[in-house]
Amino acid sequence: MKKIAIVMVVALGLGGCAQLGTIGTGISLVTKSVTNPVTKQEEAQIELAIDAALAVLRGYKQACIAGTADKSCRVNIQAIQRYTRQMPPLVSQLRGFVDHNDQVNAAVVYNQLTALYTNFKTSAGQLGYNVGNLP
Amino acid sequence: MNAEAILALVAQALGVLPTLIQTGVDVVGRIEQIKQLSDAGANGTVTDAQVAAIRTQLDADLADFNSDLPPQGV
Repeated sequence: MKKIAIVMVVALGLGGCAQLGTIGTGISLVTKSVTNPVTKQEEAQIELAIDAALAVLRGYKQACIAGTADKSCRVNIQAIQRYTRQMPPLVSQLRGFVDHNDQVNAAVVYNQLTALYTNFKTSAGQLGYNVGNLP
Repeated sequence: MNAEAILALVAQALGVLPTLIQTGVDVVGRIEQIKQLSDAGANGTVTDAQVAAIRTQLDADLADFNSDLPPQGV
């Protein structure tokens, strides 16, 4: 069990590193504005960045359900879900605004989503999981 | 993509591989997806199909992670 916990800490840390902003794709989750519009590629990049972190967290959740993760895993997962459960409506809005080139609203939602992403990673970090830093 | 970025990509991908495999993540698919988006971004050729695939994947992964944990002991 200890091994699994250690693996998860490493996995989350590396998963954070693997978040696509630092994996060499040139992703920059910077504050957006009308003069710095959100492109479809950037929308895809933040979605992949979130998904990369989720990929590892899903593994943690599966291990938790299987009873092979650490004993605090349920509490940890629920704490992180407080952030991830706010993401679907924001992601949906962002897609709509980007599709319709509504840059004013796209920038607002993009910035909300990146802030949520930061909180979600910070929350994981407070629980002992280093999920990396935003570039 | 410059050489430094490619080396960083390789180093980080290699580092994360064992743990991703251990947690059951589709490693090959993800690396390929990252590479494709990177290449397309560099060329300015990100396609609607690529974006759609990423959207579908994130929706599924969010839904999966956000679902309630089953009761303990089940």
